Amino acid sequence: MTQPLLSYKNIYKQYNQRQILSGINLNVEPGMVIGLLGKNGAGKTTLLRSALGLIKPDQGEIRVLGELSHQLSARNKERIGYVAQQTFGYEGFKIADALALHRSFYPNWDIQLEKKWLKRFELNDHNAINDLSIGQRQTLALIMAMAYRPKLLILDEPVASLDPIARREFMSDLFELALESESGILFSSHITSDIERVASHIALIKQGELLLFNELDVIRDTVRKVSFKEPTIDLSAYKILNQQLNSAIIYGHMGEIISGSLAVNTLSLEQLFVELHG
Amino acid sequence: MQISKRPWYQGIVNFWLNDVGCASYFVAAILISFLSLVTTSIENMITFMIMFSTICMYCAIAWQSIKMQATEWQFLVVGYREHVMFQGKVFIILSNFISILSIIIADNIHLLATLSLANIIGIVIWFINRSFSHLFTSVCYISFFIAVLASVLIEQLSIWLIPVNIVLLTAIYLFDNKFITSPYSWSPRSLTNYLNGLQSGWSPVPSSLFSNYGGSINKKLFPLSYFVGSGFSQYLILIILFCITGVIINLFYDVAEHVLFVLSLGLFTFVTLSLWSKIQKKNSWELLFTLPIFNSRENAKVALSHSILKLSLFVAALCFVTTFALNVTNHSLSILNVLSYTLACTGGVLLSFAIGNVFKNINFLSLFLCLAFGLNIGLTTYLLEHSSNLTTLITLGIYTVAMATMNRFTTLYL
Repeated sequence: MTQPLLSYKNIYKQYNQRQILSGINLNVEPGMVIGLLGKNGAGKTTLLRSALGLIKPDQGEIRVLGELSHQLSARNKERIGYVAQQTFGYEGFKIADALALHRSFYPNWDIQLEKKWLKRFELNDHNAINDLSIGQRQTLALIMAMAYRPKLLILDEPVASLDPIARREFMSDLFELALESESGILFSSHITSDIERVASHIALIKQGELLLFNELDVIRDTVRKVSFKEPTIDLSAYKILNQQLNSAIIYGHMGEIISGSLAVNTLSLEQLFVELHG
Repeated sequence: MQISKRPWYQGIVNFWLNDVGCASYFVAAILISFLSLVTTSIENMITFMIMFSTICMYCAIAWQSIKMQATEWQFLVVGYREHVMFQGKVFIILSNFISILSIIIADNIHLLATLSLANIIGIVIWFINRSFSHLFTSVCYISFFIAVLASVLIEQLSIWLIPVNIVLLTAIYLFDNKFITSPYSWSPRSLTNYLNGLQSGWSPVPSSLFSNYGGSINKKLFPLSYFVGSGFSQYLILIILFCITGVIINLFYDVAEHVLFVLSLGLFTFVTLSLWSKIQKKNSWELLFTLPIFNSRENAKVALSHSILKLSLFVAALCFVTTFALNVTNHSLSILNVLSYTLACTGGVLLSFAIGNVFKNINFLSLFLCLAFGLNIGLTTYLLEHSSNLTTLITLGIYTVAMATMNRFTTLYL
């Protein structure tokens, strides 16, 4: 078994007497593209930041490329790519100058890849970063995080401000990158269609707890919405993700008939998200 | 694939001159450093300049430290922080080198004590802001206050302070790790502190001060007040309060000249700060045009020009009333002096706003505002120290009208 690129073990974090992360266990293996899904304030950003040692958990251990997240060596730092929710850092630079400086810190920088993406996303390298739109800044941040082909890529809502075409293209590049370089990618997003398109795995986080983590296909095949008349229905064979008066979202359904149920329906990722937070 | 060797100066212009927050301190530090070389014969001036330029340079580095704390990815980029901070250290050495040069020209060893004290104050600003970005404005202003007091009140710092300061400086440098364990670490509030600092610039006044009384002033001087924000009415109220206090004190002690000097200093500082805030808010024009009160872009520009004229009229009235009231007690100024001073202040305010209309680049704006500031202070001080005649008054009248016309004309460039 390969060593996980990123591993969260029993992570707890409290902030202002509010539990932000609660007992998170998650491994990112090479080749995995994990889509982290959750409502605003669910703890996604905290989870991603803690992987980089920016936030120290109250309890538990986070290992990145085999090292503790808050004690990363220079060698491993060069193998991690990160795009924050709010792109910031090269104010006062032109795109070309910012890329030239950023590139100089990475010996494995793929200049062809950089040029390809600049052209594809129509970024003029003479433009000042201060004058870029939010979407263009995000594109540039993605180029800066991906052009040295990191082994682990952590992206906090990386394409939220991109137009649908740019989003699709970047998402497919992400997937290619993971396949080609055996990288692991953990990215958060609200856009379920993006996650469905590229993610190999889904991690669903609700109020700081990891509610669901598995391959996308497994989730598609085994998560069901069960409608029933009597609340006494026996669903003990499944993991209940959410239960209402006359319906429940269950996980682990393998196609068998559930006695007492009125209907057993499949759910798209978006439907699942809405049902769980409804 | 590429392996690059990075020169130490890569990105230097972008980091220090094109980042507006940093540039405001950096440009001031460089300008005053070089000015100190040519003003070595004026003892009070050179003491202040050495102190001010050195502290300003440390403020620029402290600003980069705040930016570092606001940048989430910086710790992942191995060598990035060291690269920026190395450039900062080079500038500190350069600033000290220029100061030492001016001390040699001035042939006054006591100034070395001033320089070493400035370095201590500066390094404290820098080191504190490596971890506590929210303290930037307050630490800077306390330090500038100490620096000004030290330059004004103490004629010459004693020579024995030189070795003491050097030992203290070395101790701070060597032992700071004991007190601040993780400098430059990302913190969630740093970006907010950075953006707040960018908006307020050099403004030391807390945003809540006089918030209940400023509304009507802001309304009357809209849209100028819209660009500057809460500081606009705050500064105007502070200046009015200062004038009233000055007039009262003048009833007991003869402080007329001091009050008028500080009034012109306060007015031009206020105008410079206002223009500084205005250039920071890039998107404000777009927001302004969307308001239903303006039919077009031109309409909004004309309204801005009118609000500047209203402010100038207010400045003229304030200067005239204050000068007149101060003169009632000791009659040190003639009516021609009173009117000349009033016109010089009004014309100076209009000149600064015309500069603000023309320059979009923060560095050019800073440079020309500094020059205008110097010109305005020089002119008003000259008028206070020399008696005026009718020719001076007429010339100043023409100057003021010309500045008002220029202000109206330059709104086209907005």
